[in-house]
Amino acid sequence: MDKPKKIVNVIVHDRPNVLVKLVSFFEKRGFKIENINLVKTEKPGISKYIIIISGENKNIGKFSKQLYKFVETIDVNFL
Amino acid sequence: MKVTGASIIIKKLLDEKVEYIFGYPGGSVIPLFDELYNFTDKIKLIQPRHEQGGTHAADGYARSTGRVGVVVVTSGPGATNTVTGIATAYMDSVPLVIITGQVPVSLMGSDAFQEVDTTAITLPITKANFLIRNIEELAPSLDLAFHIAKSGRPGPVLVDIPSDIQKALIDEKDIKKGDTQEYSVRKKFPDKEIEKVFKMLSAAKKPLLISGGGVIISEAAELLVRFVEKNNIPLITTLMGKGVYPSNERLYFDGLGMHGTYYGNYAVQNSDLILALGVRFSDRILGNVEKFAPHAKIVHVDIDRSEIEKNVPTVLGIEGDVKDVLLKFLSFPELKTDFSDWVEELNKVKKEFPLKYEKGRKLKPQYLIELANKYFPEDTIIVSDVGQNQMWTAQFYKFKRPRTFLTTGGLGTMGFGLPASIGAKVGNPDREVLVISGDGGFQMNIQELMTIRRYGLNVKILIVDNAYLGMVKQWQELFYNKRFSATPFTDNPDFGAIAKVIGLKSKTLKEWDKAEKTIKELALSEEPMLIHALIDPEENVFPMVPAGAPLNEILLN
Repeated sequence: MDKPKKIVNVIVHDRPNVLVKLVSFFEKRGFKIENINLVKTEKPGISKYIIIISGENKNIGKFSKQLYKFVETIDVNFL
Repeated sequence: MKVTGASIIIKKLLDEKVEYIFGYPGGSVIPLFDELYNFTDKIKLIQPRHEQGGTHAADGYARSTGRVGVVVVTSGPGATNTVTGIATAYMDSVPLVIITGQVPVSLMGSDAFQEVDTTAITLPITKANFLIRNIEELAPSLDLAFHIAKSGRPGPVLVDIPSDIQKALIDEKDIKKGDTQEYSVRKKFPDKEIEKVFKMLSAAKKPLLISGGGVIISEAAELLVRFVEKNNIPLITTLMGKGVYPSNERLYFDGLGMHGTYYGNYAVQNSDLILALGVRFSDRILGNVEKFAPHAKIVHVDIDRSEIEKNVPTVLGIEGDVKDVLLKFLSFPELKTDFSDWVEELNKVKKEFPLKYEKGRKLKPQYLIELANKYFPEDTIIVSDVGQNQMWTAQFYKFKRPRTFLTTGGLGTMGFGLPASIGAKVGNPDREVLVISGDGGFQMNIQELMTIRRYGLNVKILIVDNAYLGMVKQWQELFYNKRFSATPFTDNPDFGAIAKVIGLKSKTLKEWDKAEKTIKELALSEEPMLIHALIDPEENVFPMVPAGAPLNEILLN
């Protein structure tokens, strides 16, 4: 059976290593990244990552908030 | 006019009014140290004997002064030696800027001599890091580094600068500023959240305030004390929050968690409303999360919104600077509700289950700490290492001012104490600095005794030597059937003799009867001095809540 999937949108200041931080953030908490997309926004220097994750952990919503720990994070929303 | 990368770095340090850097040279930072040589009257170099020591020293400087600690080291091993120091600072939200040399840009990725991927290694233990690939990026990145290190929730920031960029030239008119606005604190909490807190407080019967390291960092200790005294609310502090102390002792119940007090934990488990300011609810204070504060609604205030709801469920999370929130709290009139029954109840428990130890026979560490408390002035900066020495210090020393207790809370780094005390003394030359260390941790950065001598720093050192890695031994004793695997340190050297060889005054202490005189001498000594105290090896830290147990299941001995 397929594991439940969730989508997390993260708007960030476009800096080196943001992608690495996001990937390790989810992996450390036991999620698997199914798909990750980087989209430029209209504002220069600001990008949006659309990340599809799967995993048993029911606390995805709670963990998503912790993305604000990164100084690069501007906004997080979670579907 | 053209200037070099190295001169841009020095100019930035001068702009930031950096008076001391903690640095150690090496192949990739020779250009920077060469430029520094022109400014030795303005920026003083404190050179440790090991880069880890230098990083902890910068950390001790930052914790004790509230200013940014600056570290300069070379590439490769210079950078990797700072890693433990950086992680220590990151866990405890200490502002550091670490400047590391890197191999020239053209050699990067070629496994060059002393090349290591420093930004990759430090990514998870820095608030941000920067790898400078061309001279144009240098000045703006340094602006951001200092801004990020000290703004919001502080933390370490690393800037990795290849040696050719330190030598590269740029026209002064082409130097740009960093856009620090981008990384500024996000939003202000709405007033109605504060009103909600007051409504909850008015309805509460057993409110409790838990004060954490955030209160110290945001310089809000005095406001917090005013708030608890104005409204007669009991106060406890976390390990990082020590130094917030009401003049009315009847409102203070020490610490909570694994090695908190019985009455501190009782307060948590019986409270009906917890106001947690600048705390991060670490596993060491929570015990069993499900059974933590079972009767309480929790209101959590923190500048870092990722902390709110991270470890405990809250009824209200307020994202904001504790100082701003407390100013708002204080603008409200005094609460009508009377909490004196609750304060009485807690004082009764405090009287019934005080912190205690056996007196008059074997030399006990708690006694030495009480004596230090008696003979050292109130503004003394106490530095601990990690383990039993740290918990005894936290339990038995009465910290009455913010920034007087420097300890490695989150990472629990052995070897932190001695070098951190160096930074504390550098930043506070007119105050007493006393480091209390165990025998194990002391030997992890013992080389920094040389730094104390080189700079003539009047640091006082108390080694409580039980010939064990004591905290691990305590767990083995309680939970591993007394199988003392790898914890006995019966071959410890004579630390007093080592100090003497290095040129520092020292004394060995073995007996209870001589303790008072010796600690008094330590406090009054006008030069650095080391006391090697051979304490009772059987002494453990109590009370203790075993890991994962609820706070009311507490072992008293």
